[in-house]
Amino acid sequence: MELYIGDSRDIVVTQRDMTGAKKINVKRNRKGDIVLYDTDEIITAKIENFKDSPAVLTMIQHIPGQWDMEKCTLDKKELKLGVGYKKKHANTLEFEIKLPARTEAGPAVKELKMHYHRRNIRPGVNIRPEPSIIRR
Amino acid sequence: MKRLVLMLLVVAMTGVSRAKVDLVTLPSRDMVQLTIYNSADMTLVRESRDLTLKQGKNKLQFSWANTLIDPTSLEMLPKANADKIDIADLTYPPRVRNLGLWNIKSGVSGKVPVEITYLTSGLSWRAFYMGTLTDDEKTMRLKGYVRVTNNSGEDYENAQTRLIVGKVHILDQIADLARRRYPYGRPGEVVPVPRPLVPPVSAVRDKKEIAWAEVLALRPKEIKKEGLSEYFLYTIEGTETIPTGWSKRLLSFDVDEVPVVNLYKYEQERYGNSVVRFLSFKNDEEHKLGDTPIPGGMLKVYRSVDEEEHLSYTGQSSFKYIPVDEDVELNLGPVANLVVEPTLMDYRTENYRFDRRGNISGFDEIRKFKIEVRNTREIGVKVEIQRNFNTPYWRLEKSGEFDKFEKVDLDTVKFTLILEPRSAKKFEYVLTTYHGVRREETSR
Repeated sequence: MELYIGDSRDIVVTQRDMTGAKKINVKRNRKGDIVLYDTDEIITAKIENFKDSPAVLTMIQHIPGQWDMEKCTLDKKELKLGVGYKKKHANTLEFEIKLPARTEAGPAVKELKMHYHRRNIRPGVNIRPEPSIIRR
Repeated sequence: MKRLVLMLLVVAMTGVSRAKVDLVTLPSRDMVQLTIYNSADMTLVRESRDLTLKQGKNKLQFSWANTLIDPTSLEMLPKANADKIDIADLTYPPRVRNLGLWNIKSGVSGKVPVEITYLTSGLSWRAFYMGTLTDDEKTMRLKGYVRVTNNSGEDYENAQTRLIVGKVHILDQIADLARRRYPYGRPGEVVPVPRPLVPPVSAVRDKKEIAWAEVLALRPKEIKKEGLSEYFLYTIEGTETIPTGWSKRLLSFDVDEVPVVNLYKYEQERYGNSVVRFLSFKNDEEHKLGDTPIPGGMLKVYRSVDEEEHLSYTGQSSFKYIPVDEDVELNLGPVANLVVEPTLMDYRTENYRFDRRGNISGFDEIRKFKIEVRNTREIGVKVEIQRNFNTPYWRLEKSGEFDKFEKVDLDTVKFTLILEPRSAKKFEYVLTTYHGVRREETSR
């Protein structure tokens, strides 16, 4: 059971899309239109803890469609599926990030970098093939 | 408070002068029989009265004001001395409403019993049911009640009542025929009947006394059931008094220990995200029923909670007519104490095929589902999880804890699980659906 108490302002996450969904493995038809492609995506998230006590942040990332992770690192240390992060659903990942307390110099910073490929994307088709069934 | 007025006009033997003579005491009804056809709002009333006739021509005035009697259905038959009595005709005097005149040629004088039959609207009956489940929910006590309501404008005292289950097809509604301005011409012109007057308080009190006397008369009445062609006839033992505006509830049957199956179903496309509870049994000997078909009505189901037989309300469902030997499955509504959670764990596509132009002509979609079922109840349950696919071209690989797997139709499968009290089970399946030319490739 979960109780939503409120929003936190002491832990800040800044997420950036570094590549803008670059197309790779592009397959074209005779006319030259793209019919199938994969993408190469890198997402970085900078997490800062401004609190005086350590905290654990559960971060949920969504990746639509068919995908596979190329490399996932937290502060340059590699995370493996099942060990470093969990797959809650075909399109949902859950990371548990332990953050130390802030220091005199400033907030505690951790950087999560996800490098993954989205596969077999057909242009014109709705990216989400399956409505995710989330229990309310 | 009789609204039916019957006056006897005696005509002199010479037969010319038709003087209106004083009113004679109204002969009361000796016997009344009601046969209520619920689905058509039609009741057949057969009553017997003793008429005092003089030799020769007799005229009988009959009024049906303030009632829902259809005057065109009136018929009178003499019960004794039938050969000597000729009921010539029933005329409806012009420009007079709600009045009919019987012309009777009688060869005898004195009291003659006659039977008058007619159709009326306004009497109806309904069936109600109450089911009480035992603690372990394996058996149920089923009680059936029948409620007869009289809104016809006419009081019926000591009437033998019969109820008909079944659908009757009639062309004219009795209520429309009763409300016509004149009982001839084409039906269709409906004149609203003025509401029956509210009886004065003293009369109501008298009626209450009649009703209480019946209530205090001890043994519950029996209802005899028999089949009648396409219909079913319930005859209520003894007689009933139902004044107009009143209803009466009678026990129709009371059967203990009907074995039932407590079934839960989960189907997202039909019931959403909650598990729905079903109660199923069969109208046959094995289930202590099977004597008669069960007329449709509302069933309220309760559960007896402890030794003191306190009841907790479980659910309700209305059902239609159940013939003998037919399966019954009643939907008692969604429950929260059983949880089914399907999760899509993996999704990918593969086996892409391309046509001559280089466009995609086929591919496979592979989905891996994990379904978790949790039973938080104190008793064991049976859950049926139905999964629908949007294509008939698919392949399924299943694994995990399930008890039965069944392919229901070309795009539906059903998993059946039996859970112990307070337990959980998990199972998975990998569904591969084929699109485009892959369908042909895999169906060979």
